[in-house]
Amino acid sequence: MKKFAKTFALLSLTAVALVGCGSSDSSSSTSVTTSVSDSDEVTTNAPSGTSVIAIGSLNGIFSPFFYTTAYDNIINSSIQESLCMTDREGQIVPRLAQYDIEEVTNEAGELQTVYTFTLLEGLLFSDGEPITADDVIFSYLVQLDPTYDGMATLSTLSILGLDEYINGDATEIAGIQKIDERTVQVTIDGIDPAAIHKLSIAVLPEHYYGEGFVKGDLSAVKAKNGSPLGAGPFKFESYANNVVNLIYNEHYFLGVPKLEKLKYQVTDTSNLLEAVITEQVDISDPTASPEMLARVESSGLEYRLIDNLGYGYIGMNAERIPDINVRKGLMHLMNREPAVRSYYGDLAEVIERPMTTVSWAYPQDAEEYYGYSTSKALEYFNQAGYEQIDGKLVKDGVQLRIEVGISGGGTMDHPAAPVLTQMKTDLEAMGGVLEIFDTDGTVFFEILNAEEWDMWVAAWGSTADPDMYQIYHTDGSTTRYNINNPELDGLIEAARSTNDTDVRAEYYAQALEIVMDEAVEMPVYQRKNMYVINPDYLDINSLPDDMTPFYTFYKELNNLEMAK
Amino acid sequence: MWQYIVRRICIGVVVLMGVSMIIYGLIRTAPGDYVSTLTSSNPEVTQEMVDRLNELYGLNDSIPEGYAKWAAGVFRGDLGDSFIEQKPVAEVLSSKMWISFWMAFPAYILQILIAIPLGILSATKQYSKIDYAVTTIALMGMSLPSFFFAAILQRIFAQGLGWFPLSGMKTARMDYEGFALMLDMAKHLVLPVMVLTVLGIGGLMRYCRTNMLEVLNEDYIRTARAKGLSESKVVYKHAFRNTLIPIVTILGGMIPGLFSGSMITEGIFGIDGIGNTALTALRGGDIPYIMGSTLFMAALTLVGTLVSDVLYGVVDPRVRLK
Repeated sequence: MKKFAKTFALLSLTAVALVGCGSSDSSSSTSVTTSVSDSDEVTTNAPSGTSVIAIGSLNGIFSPFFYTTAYDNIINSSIQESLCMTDREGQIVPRLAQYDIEEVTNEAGELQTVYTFTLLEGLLFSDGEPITADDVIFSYLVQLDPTYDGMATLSTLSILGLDEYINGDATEIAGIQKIDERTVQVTIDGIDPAAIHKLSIAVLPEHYYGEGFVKGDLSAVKAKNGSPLGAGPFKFESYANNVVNLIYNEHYFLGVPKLEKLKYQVTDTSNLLEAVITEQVDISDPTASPEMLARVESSGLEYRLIDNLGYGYIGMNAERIPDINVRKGLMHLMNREPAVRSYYGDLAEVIERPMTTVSWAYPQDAEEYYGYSTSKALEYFNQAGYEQIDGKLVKDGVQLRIEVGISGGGTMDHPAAPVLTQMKTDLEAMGGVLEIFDTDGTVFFEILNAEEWDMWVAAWGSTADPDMYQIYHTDGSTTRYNINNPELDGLIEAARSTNDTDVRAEYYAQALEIVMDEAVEMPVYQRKNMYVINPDYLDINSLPDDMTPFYTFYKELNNLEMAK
Repeated sequence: MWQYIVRRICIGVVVLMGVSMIIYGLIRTAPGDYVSTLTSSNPEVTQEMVDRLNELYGLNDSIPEGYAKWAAGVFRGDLGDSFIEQKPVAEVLSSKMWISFWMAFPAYILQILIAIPLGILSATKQYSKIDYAVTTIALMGMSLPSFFFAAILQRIFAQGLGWFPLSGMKTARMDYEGFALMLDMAKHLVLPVMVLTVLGIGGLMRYCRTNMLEVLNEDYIRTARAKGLSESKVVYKHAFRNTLIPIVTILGGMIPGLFSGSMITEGIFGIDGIGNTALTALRGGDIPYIMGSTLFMAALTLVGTLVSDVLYGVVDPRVRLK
């Protein structure tokens, strides 16, 4: 399960290309000016040295549009640059382009949002060709092609004229307009605060990828998946023998990188720390555990801890356990603190609302909703009509029986496992039955997707935008809780229809209260991830300060430097 | 003999069809298909996207339909494109096959060089201390889990002594070329080869010992001894040569298997071989790759048994293939 949670976190870090939230125009232009002045300062020293970073198994799909694993996308992020990116808090800030969001009303009186992206001046791809509005539009057209089969969800936006393009004969998209050589305008129907993240795509060079590209045929674009070209800090040289070879990009817009070469070495997860100790790699990301932390410290390496973008929870299906009092009773049987403490030590904390604490929308003052108390649990079971007869907790002659799924590798190796075992003991003492099924991950999710668990233990990978539609809304595609609460649906929809962060945070705080009151999801833990660094090879000060899941050293690869 | 080979090949094709049908049915019914693995953790994916992906990857077809499409492709010489690597399966197989081979081949030679003498030694000294020691060590090698043994080797030789690299196929930090690159890669293969060798010795040694014992009990060995031949002549000239017959057949049969890779060992040592890729494919529901690689391995197995049967006829004049 640990592994799953990690995969989730990694996937969510990247699968949802760029995430964050709208910011005001004034703040965006200031950050652009600072970044440009930065670049003027760092062009003095010639790049030198070779650094090696450990990476998981690669599929070799080095395209920001077609990758399927987070590891492949790490390579992409070293080679490509996007229009915008997330800052440390997950808010969107300009990168290659400044942006402006404007809400307008068209002639028919319908509300629309216009996004204007203006590329910075003098931008070049790594082959020296200029980056223009045509490249941006080309990149949009690839993701919006009728035959596009990548993971990007750009096509779910209601861009004007998109339907005619995907399902009809239109040769261009009415809502995507080139204003001048550096400016592109995208118009969408209505308001969608998450749209800016989807629109902030990586810019692919049309002169390289676009050769032979026609609507409905992406084969020419895909043919370049193994030999990418972009505007990122490093240029792709080769991928062979499980090593990705990159070389500095002298045209990088934030200044020439300090490293001459950057390599990614595929390393098995069981060897991530050992690979740094044996000086095979300079940075790796072993799973953070108290034992791992002790080993890192004893081997004299440096480490950085970063919150994981996601959280662990125990979920319940309101259709399988329809009585809310039964669910509340079960909630009161969950003793989370000792379980999380014993599994993670200081590397995780118990959370009180089902949302990653990294998110700007997490209500920091939230208090415990269902404290551990067997007497309160029994009270709720009694309210639900259950009575203790002959040592059994029964209602209408049927004993209370709950089946819970957990993916603990067959050995209950999971931070929430002690919660379940204690619940089982407590519930059995009351006369109920809790059946724990420690199930293999694939099977576990198969059963979960078929909604056949009463209760289950899993983790959500989060995105920077806290939109909850798919998870909690009645019509959400990944809802497994079956809350079906109109008030909650209303709040989620309302939060989706404004770009004002403060207003949205308030809606989400209310929505989370409803989710807690429905007793369908007990938030369990927010854990941390870890990077281990060899300070003998890499200048530890060249890593950015206060890294967050939205802002890791991968965003400042150009600053990485060998130790003196 | 040619007639025999042709007949065997024809039967082989039928067997392959049966194998591929069963495998296809199994993969398609196994939980966690490619599209659901890909999309399950991304809350932004809509049902329409999932449907479209299922259509694109042919997962909406029924099992017989899907199999028919795949088989038709194979008859045209097209194994399809790997879902995970987005490249033709044949290309992936041929690019990764050789590294697996270069890992397996030295191990194969070492196994022969170590297991056969040990087998003879323990057979000639049956029930002696040497016999027990050799058998025990061989059995330990056989039953050691590869990941465990690999971890021990990594701990001793990479972390402790620093003689060999921990994992990987080459030193990423250095840009070796030509002979230096070959040397560097060879150094990286030492530990995986050790794992494969130790794991493989046991079986071969036991096989050799059993056959040697059988021959040593034959009448003609007693005759040879009765004639007053020296013990070494009896063992190496009369007994060993006859033991070779079954051994050569099993060794010949192992050759095609050198291309099939080793799932666990490759993964631990970060080697981009055919076995580890198969494991990834299995986890990710990459149907074309699993089908392609199992077809490849099934074909190799059939070729292996055919080779060993033919070799049997070559080394043993009493065997006639019809």
